[in-house]
Amino acid sequence: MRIRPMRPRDAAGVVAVYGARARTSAALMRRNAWYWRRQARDRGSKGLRIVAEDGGRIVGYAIANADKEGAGIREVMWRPEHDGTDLGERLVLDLLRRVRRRKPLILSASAMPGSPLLPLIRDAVGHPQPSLGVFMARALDPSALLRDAVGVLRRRTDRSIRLRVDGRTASTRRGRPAATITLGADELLGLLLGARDLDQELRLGTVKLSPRTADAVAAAHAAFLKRRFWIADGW
Amino acid sequence: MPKPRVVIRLATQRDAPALTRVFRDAYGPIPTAAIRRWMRSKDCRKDFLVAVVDGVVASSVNIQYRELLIDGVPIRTGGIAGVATHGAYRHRGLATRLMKEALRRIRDRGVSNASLFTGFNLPAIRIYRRFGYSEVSAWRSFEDVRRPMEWMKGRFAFRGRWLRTASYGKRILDDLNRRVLIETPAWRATVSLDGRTFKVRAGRRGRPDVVMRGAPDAVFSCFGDHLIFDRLVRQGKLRVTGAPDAVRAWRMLLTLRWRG
Repeated sequence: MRIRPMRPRDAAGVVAVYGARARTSAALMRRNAWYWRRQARDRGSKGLRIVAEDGGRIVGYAIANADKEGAGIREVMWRPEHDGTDLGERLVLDLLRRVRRRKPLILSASAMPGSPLLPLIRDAVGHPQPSLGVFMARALDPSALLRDAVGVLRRRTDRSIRLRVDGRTASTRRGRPAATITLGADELLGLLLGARDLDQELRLGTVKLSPRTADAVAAAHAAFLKRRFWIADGW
Repeated sequence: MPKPRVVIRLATQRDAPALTRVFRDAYGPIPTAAIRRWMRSKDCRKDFLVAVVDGVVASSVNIQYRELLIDGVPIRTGGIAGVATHGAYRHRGLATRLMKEALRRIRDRGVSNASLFTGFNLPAIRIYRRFGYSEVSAWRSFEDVRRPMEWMKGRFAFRGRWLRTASYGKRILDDLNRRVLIETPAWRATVSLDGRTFKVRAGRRGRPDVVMRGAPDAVFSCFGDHLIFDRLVRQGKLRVTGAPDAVRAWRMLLTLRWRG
């Protein structure tokens, strides 16, 4: 495996890494071709875009940007199958080596809790700051949310789950449901985004499960599994 | 006095100069060309709402329709951005009216949820909580200020530029005519106002009106944040001495907290 500067022909590989990461994450933003083209043209990150290549395949990438005010790590991604290896650390250290050559006034980086990037930048950059930026959300339309949730749960589990949200009901598959989960729209959104924990909500009584059998609990956990990796772009 | 007439409508390119005044007042120095460019871009979708008070654009809210990927499955979200109200029109419920209209539009488009990015230190977070938004996740940030003197020069140059363009700037620049010594174990710097421009010089220069002492990280972290400044002072990690009105003026300048 080698780490080298990103080239224009790496574009498809970089998009594929992002896509692979998005399939195991809670809330990455969908990016279109226009977004990636704009990123490739961004002058601030010129010379600060690197990729990790393994046998001709792009397995990770890292991007920083710098201007006269300072430099910041913008994004570090690697394929989920490389979790637990030192690939992320190698990308961060290589990127920081390139950033420091520019002698920035300030070096900054941020990540969401749960992101595997967080311990890496904590070690590499240091100087933790009080938390300022926050991502907030609220449910608006329970029917639309139910439709969205059914799409996600179908991807996660083959078993039938019945959801009851604010008096509306939907099932992920036909047939007898393995579990019926009754909850409010905001609780459902929080569980989908990974901001809420199913066990805690069951204890608090904000989420109700029936039947209360071990099999139903297992089916509910498969539907609302806790996502480790958590990141979101600003807009 | 007649009640002012408030109209909520979509913004057009012709509103760019008025929006620049609103954004400058709320966020800092922004050129009109940048606002025009942003309004033309794909990032600024068609639901860009403004509140017009007696014919003057006073407040704005922009909706950005995006897709969150949950396990790769796209879920549409109505992202709220560009929430700003001109200082002269605050506390009239304009942002609240715009938010109500924005949420109605998002719901009408069949989008299941609304989301936004904000700061714990911004007053708008109270409005968002009132509208039912809850915190999903907060960033952990790390900052290594490698060249403190140059970095602070940049921060104070920004404050000088902003205050020259903001509606309340002249009064504040008059009030802030003080000399401040920042002292850390690693370095010392003196901040003074030279005419309308802030000067940051290494070391102690003259007799300071205010002295601020603390670790470099404590000093850097309260730039632009009154909550952190107050907390560090309470915890004794930041010691600020001087006449009360001078300390109050310094707090405003450092934390960009112009009111209250």
